[in-house]
Amino acid sequence: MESAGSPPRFFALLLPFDRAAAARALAIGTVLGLAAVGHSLDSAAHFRFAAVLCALLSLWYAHLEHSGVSRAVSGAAMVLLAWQIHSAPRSLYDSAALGGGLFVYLAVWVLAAYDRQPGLQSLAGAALLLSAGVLAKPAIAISCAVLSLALFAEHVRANSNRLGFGLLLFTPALLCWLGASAFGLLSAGTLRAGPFIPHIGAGAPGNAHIWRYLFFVPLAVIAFRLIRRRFRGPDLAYLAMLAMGSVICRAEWPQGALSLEDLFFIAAGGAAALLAATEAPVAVRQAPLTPAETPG
Amino acid sequence: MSTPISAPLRPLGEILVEKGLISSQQLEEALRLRGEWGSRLGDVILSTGWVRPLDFYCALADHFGLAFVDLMNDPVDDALVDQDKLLEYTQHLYIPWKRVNGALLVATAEPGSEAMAAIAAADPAVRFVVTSKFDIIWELQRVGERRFSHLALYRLAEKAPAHSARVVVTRPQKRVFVAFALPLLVLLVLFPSPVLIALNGLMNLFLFASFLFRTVLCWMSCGENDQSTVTAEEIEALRTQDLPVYTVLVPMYKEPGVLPILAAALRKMDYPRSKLDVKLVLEADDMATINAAKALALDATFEIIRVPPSLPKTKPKACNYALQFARGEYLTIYDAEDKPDPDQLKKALVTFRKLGPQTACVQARLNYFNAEENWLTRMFTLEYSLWFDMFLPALDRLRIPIPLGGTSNHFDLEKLLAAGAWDPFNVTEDADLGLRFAAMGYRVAVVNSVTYEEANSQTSNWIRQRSRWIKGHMQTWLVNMRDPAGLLRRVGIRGFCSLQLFIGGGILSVIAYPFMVVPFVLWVLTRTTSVAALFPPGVRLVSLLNLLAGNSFLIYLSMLAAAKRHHFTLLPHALTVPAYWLLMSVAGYKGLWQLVTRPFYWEKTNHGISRFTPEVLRSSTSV
Repeated sequence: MESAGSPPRFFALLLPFDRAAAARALAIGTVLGLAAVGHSLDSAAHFRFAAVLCALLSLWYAHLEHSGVSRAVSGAAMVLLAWQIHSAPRSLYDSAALGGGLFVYLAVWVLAAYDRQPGLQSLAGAALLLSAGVLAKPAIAISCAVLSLALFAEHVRANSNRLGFGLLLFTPALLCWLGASAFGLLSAGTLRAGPFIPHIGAGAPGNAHIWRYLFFVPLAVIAFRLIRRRFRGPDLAYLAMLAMGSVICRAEWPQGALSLEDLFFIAAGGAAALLAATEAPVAVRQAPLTPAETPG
Repeated sequence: MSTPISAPLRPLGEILVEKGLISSQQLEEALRLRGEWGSRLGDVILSTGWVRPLDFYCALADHFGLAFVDLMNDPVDDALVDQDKLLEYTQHLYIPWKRVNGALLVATAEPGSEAMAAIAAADPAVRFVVTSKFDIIWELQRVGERRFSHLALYRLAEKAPAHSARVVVTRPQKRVFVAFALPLLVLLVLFPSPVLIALNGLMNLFLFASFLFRTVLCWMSCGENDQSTVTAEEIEALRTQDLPVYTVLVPMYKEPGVLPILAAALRKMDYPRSKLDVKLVLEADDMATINAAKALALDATFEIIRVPPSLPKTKPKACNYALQFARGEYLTIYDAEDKPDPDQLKKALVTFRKLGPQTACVQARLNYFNAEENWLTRMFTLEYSLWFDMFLPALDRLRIPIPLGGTSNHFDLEKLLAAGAWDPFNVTEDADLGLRFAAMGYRVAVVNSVTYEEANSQTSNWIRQRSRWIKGHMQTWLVNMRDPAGLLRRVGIRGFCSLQLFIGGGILSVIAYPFMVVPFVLWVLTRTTSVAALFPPGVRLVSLLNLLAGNSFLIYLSMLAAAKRHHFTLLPHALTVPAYWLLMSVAGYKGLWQLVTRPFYWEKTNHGISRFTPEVLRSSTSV
């Protein structure tokens, strides 16, 4: 399973940018971030949320530019997202949920990287990142589980080595879960955050209008990828995750597992990653797990 | 009829056909191969095995109009042999034989060579006779045994004592040890709990860094190191006529049964046989293997080098001994049961040429042909895949010193000699040599060619082998840490840290592993509070992370390595790697004990014990 060409750059954001690009990203991110939530800067929590949002928008813009997405598309997508956040109620302005969105952003980006360059490194990257979801709050764990299963389903459709692929994909998550459980048992402490209490009930009256905004950016990105003929496995995985999340959130079962804030930012994070992956070059699809060779 | 060398009287091929030693078709074939391989006709005919060497050299004598002498019946006059010129004799295959009527008679197996012409020009009174190269090697070993043995043992220790493990712990190292140990002991008596906690914490932090480093290496190798990947086109582009002579050392001890495996693998090598200089390096007291090698009636490419008995009886000493008879431009080492890829020599050659003159060694990847034999062989295969397919390529990519593996390392002979060759006092001489090359500014690269070996399938045998490896790594670490500042200067911060994390971390992790596992298993089983004193919250956090994350990463990295090697059936078995590490700890403690009690003792690994071996032997002998 030796990859052709250079390995995918999961940490492309860490590569040095020129100062002008960094300044541009920072300016656009700050302006749009403040435009989105500036009207509600009345508490320390909201200030914190605004700061994190500005930083993430700046990084996103930098990533889009680095990935080769045109400035027009990048700008439009950012304005759209800012408008969506601006239109949502203040109760959605939750930094923890924003962190969840960031995690899903990374997870979807890694999936897209595996799709572009199927190989051991990208598979391991996806497996390790998705396994980290086990340690996060339920919203992220659910998202990662759905993404992993979707990736597995996508693989078994085209390849026969299910056991090998499954072990490589799910073992880190299994070990992480076992490790976290043992850690909790042995250290009499826990890595998991305290019980998550949703700020607003998804099905609560008066929140119906939020659902209108929820899918705006995702749908726009999926449409854009369809037009660009980039609709592939990660898009399906993302849609599956979104559908599953919506059902759990709407049904409020398991109770408190997935709040509307989580879903809002998970949807946005995944869509943002897909947009960033749109213009990245697609490798010739390889069968990542080929039959065993006979040694000797 | 001892005479100065004149021009050949009659074509060699004609003489051989006339004597009925080869047919005219064989001569035609040999002439064709001579053109294709760019070798001398005599070398081609000898490498085919059509003619007995003794008959061939008789014909060669006729070819040059010289007398033939059988040194077994008429040995050399020891007094004529200049002990300072032994290496010259081995290189040019000649030896002063006798003095008759004041004239020196030189016995040579290369009468037409430039070296003989030079000798004749320097002293017109010298006369020549022809003899077999095997007789010359035999006589040289007899006459120069003491000198060859001395060089094999002490070349490095005398030339660069700082790099030799002859002294296990140097006096300054002992002083440093005492300077640290004494205050620590005092503190331990005064404040036992805090000191133990601090030691525990430090050890865990170091192990955590070591795990992290290995994970990073593995991650990098999940891609591929393109620079050392040799393509089929690059091999095609090699001109066979330009290929250099390649020496292959096969050190063996008490393993007469498996030699046919390597002999068959070497015959299958995609390399002109006339340019192979294979030395079966056997201990002089190991008559069983010597007789087995003779019984195989191998062609003249194979030479038997008998290593005279002396202590320490180690593989590096045997290799050093045989090295003095090597005539190749490049040299490699295989174990007797090895099955290298047929194009390995060419791939190594391409790598040398591609990477430039700073490359001293190219390491091929090792793996096992009996991976599926039992749990131990599966674990061993996972470990080797991790080591050779993941760690070493990444170290190569980062230009970090590479500890070489036991076999299939290909050397530029000149650089190997410049480095002082192997350290006979180090029981992992290969790992030590890799680091020494790095310290000398040379590069060690990894090539995408595999040698399949026999994995140890018996626990006691495995522990013997592993304890030697761990002891050798301890020796290597101690040798390199004699002058830490100097090492830092020579290999840089990356190389220095790599030595600590990769070699030092490897040693510490097998030693510390039981201390990590046992207290927690005890705690889980008995809920005892007695271990809690050593594990305050901070230390407990790191210890737990090491235990859980470390083991998890070990499992997953092993899986990745197996997948990279396409050993998918081994993936589920990777889940049992933590148990294998407990076994490693047993070997680690044995190695530590032996470092103190018998530092140079070579724990012999028995080969040919796999249930797959008879099948491999059958397929080898049917070639």
